[in-house]
Amino acid sequence: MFDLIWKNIVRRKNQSILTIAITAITIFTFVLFFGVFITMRQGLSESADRLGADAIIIPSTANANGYELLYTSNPENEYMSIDVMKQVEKLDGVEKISPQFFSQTIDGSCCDFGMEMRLVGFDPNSDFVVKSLLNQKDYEELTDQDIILGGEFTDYVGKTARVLDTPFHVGGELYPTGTGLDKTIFLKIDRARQITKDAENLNVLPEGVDPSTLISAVMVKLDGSITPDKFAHDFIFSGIDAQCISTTDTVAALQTQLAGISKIIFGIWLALLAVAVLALVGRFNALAKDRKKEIGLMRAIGVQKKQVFMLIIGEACTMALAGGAAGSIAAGLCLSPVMNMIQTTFMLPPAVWNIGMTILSGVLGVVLSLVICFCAAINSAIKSASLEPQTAITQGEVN
Amino acid sequence: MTVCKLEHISKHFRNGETITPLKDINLEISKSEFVVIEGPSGMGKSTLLYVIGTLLKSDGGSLFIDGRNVAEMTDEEQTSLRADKIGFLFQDSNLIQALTLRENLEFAEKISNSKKDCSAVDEYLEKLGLSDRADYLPHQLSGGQKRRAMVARALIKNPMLILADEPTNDLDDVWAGKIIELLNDCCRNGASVVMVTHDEKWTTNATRKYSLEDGILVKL
Repeated sequence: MFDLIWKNIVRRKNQSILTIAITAITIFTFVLFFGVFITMRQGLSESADRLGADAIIIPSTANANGYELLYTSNPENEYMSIDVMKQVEKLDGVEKISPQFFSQTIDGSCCDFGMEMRLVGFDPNSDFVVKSLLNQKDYEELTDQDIILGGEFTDYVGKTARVLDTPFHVGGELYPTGTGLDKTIFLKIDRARQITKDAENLNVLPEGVDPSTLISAVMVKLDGSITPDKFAHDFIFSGIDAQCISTTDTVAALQTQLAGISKIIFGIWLALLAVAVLALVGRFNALAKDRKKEIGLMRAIGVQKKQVFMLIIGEACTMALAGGAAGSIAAGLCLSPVMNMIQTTFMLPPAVWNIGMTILSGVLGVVLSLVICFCAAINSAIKSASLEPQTAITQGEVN
Repeated sequence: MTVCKLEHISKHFRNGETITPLKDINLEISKSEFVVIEGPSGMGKSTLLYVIGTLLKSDGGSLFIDGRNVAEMTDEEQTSLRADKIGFLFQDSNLIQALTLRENLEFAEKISNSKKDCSAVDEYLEKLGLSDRADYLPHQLSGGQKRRAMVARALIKNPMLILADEPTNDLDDVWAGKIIELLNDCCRNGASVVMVTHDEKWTTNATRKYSLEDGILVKL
């Protein structure tokens, strides 16, 4: 019977290709949407877990770019006085603060990394944001010659890398966040200020101002006695010449975005699934009808009902396996570019898509294809197995 | 030895009006008999074959095959009976489309539980002049070749009872004669044949002849 299943699929090429294509498209859609959905959820969850700052203080003239501000200062040369730190420190509910200094965006030609990146200075002594994202356990205190790389740089730890013609020791790498942080090089804040001052073509610092008195952002950790929203609200009336961004708002906005996108994805997926199932039901019914006479013949020459049932289900499951595998592989290949597109468009933080997730979604895709095809074929299989041989032979289509 | 026995078999079809192609049919077929049923088209000859072959349930009467009452057999048992002991030759050309000629014969041979020392596929392909078409799919065969293939498929499992519905359709006289001779050989080897035909030319070797008229079997 397995031989007949295989030959029915291989020698009825057009019918089989159509059925496999419908299955493959369904599973492609499922795996792709599943992957994007899971990755986005995972990304948000991981981001929230690692979120060190409850609020960020930035210059009043700077653009408040939601998600980017969760980890670093804005990638723009807007600065405020270091005195802001002292003022912020005195505000109610503040547990920790840590300054950051954005130096510049540099292109790949100046460094060993071959991509555009940002140079940001931070204070390792007071920092609580960058440390929480470090993926090295044996992190040692930074020196002036050390740098920490964002999530897009890999396999540099312990090596020497050239940045702006200066050799640095790579002291650590950060987890990917899906933000500009991944393309950021962190170095000690004083070194970043010095680089900005020395850059001949930059001219971004106010004339005559000592850069050591400037900062781009203050990351704020609250002690729990006040919510980030309340802190941001109170900040408006504090008289400090800066603006405060509550990360609660950012995360909430992301969650709202994600929930909306999730609903859209789920809705589209459900609709596609329904269409695909109906199409497959139609396919299997048509296949069974086309072969009514043949099935009658098989029953007449001694093929049992259960064997006819197994024949139809076997064909459906074999085509489901082929379609499911093809759809899963195609989706796996498309997932990365699609996620990049979504990340760029929505500023969402997708987590890293790893091989384990790929295998899981592929297996789920194949299992789903088997379930869909089984459900779509079961009615045809039962009907075909129940055919009265004489009726099938005399009323079936003539082959 | 009785191979097949029909007692008061009747069959009705209701399609607006009630048609009764078989009325109180009584027939007993013994081993090695060649029974011919003649009559014009549409008189119920094929229906009678389908009933004898357990493909169609009668509405009245009893059918015994190889001593067993078919009505008391399960569907599975009836299917096994068809696989092992009954060889069908249908009126229409009817082969499994995804299998080559050889594979169609092998399929029929495999389904049957009759154990043989070696496959008879090549022997039947040779006998029916189909050796050079063995690897062709049904749609690549002519009507006559398909008819001969169906004969091979019916006979390959050495059935106890052969039910042949117009077996000479689509065949020229040479091949039709050879098919009838093959059926006669089967009878000589112990099988029983019930053949339906409207062409008297092929009935000369019949043990008995009947005509089906208005649902009643009349011995000729």
